Amino acid sequence: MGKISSDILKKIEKENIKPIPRCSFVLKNSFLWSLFGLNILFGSVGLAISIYLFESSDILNLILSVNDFIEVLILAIPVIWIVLTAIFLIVGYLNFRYTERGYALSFPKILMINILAILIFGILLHSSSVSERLNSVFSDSIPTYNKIVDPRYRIWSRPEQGYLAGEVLSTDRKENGTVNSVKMRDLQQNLWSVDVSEAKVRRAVSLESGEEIKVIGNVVDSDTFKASEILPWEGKGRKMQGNHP
Amino acid sequence: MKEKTLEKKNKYEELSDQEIVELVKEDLEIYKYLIERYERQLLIYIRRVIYISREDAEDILQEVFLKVYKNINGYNSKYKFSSWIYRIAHNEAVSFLRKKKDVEVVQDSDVFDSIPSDTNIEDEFMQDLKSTEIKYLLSKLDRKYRDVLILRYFEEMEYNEISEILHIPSGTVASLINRGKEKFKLLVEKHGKDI
Repeated sequence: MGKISSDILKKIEKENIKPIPRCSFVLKNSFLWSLFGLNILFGSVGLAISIYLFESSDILNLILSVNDFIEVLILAIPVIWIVLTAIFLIVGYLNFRYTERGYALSFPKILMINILAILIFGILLHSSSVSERLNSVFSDSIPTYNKIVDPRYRIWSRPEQGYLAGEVLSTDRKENGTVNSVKMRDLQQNLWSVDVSEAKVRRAVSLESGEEIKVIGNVVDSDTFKASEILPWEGKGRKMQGNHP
Repeated sequence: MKEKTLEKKNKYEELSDQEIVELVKEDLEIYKYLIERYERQLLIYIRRVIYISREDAEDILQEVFLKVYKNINGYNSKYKFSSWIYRIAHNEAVSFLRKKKDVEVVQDSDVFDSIPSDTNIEDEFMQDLKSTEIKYLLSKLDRKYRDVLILRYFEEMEYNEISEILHIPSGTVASLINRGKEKFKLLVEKHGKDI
């Protein structure tokens, strides 16, 4: 048996094998923990933007006023950001698993730690409006971001179901100054004449040219829409209710 | 001269693994005391985990000790050194098996030669016979059950040590041991009623 030890020592000397420096192990461990931290951060950002997009999809505002709530609810789910959050959650789990003592915790425990961390930081990021700012950054820098990611583009591009959104191009006013109808370009670049004479218009809506609005109503013919309610494109429109002058 | 070497050997034999590890970092020569402390038990362990010839097991063992030396600075003295070195041995054995799928499986009974036995020759003979049977039955178990049973009942490790060696939670170790025992019992009933 002593032969093995002398063979090994000879081999170590002959091949000049040196122990890997301690700092390499420290670095590797720090790298894994940093990666885990980044995954939690990205997961939290994903969750925060998901909450922001879900809220801004008007789902909470529409809950009492629409019949097809389940359909709207499904459309309101920001799938891409939720999938991204889930990916960061899984990668975070794998990271944690490969840290020095990561194996000692069971899969459900590590998953719970990750979910809790993402939940806490995600809610914090959302409540401090970071989610809104980040969403604007993505929206400004990625050309198709809104169409692909923002659930409002799915919910409010369904005129046949009564949901229309777009930019006001011009306004037709009655003699007393109240707005009778508006010309607007929808999210698919189609032109519409929208009858707003009997519509409930949220206080935040001014119906000026260039304004972006959301309209609930029904299609009258191929390019005419009768509005029953008009909401601002940005914001949930709560506490803004009132008839437009 | 001989007396001096013996004195030196005795000195290191009294030291803990952790203390020797610290000394090895400064002096390669001391590494031989660590090797001598573990070579026999690791050789037996490797041959228990994967049924290979002694020559192959010795090759793996050499790789294990080289790896241990290279990674000696990565050993965390908060945990048992034996768990750390067993983990390296386990990984080397499994990776050897993966690389050489056509490896020759040997059936000699000395693989399980540390099964406790008393001095009675007849008992030892029976024990040897049983160890061959046990080995045969263990080879029929899934690797996950076999690994924990070998570590628990042949290497006599605690749950937390097995957890450190196999990198699985202690709770999982406990459930694998329980399920492994059940499966082993079924195998005994089916194949080896005499055990």
